[in-house]
Amino acid sequence: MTNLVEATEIAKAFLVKMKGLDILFSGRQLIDWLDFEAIKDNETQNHYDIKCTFQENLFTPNRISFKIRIAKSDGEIVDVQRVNDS
Amino acid sequence: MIAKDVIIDTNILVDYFKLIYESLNHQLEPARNNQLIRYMDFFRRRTLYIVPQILSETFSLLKSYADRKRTEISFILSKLLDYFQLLNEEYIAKDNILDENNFLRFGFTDIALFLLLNEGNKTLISNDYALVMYCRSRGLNACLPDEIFNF
Repeated sequence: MTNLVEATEIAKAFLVKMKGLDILFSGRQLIDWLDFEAIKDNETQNHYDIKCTFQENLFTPNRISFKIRIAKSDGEIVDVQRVNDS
Repeated sequence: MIAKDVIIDTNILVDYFKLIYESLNHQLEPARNNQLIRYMDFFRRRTLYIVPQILSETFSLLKSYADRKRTEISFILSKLLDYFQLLNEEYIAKDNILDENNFLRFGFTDIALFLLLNEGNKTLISNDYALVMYCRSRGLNACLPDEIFNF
């Protein structure tokens, strides 16, 4: 069974891979330079919905958000949605 | 007070991009690491603006840098392509630049920067002392990099 911490790490790892944010600058992954934040948006018996927010890129403070649904049973990513926060 | 929107002059941009390039290429010397951290920490909270003249000057300086490094400029540009695309470019018409009183003193790039700054709500960061002082004398928000970064 996947717990919330693990689900958050899975969500972050997915976004790092998807957006190519694993580039290292001064020993830190780019995603960590982009003020990455993750919160539990919802929880059901079978899933966690993790809302992840981070800066769009290094040259703007504008932030983008994704909602990632992760199965509790095996940590599989079930759904990914870009969220419009505006 | 530094605005959220900053206009950066050529030398600042070149310095920052060289640090990014060296970091991406695993060539960043430890002594320069602190500089990269300072730049990244500052600029990631802000929106960066340039004028087209900055890009031309940046290319020239990166070309010289490539020659010193005995590297092809195309290789350096390929590493920095994504970062160039992230810059916000504002076009200042040639005739507006020529109409400006101090064009003869400062030239195209500096007057373009001045006019962009004059549109309001931005801070100019430049190591051109004369330009910074001129902007300040006109009541505009301009800074020298030493006033921000303390390298």
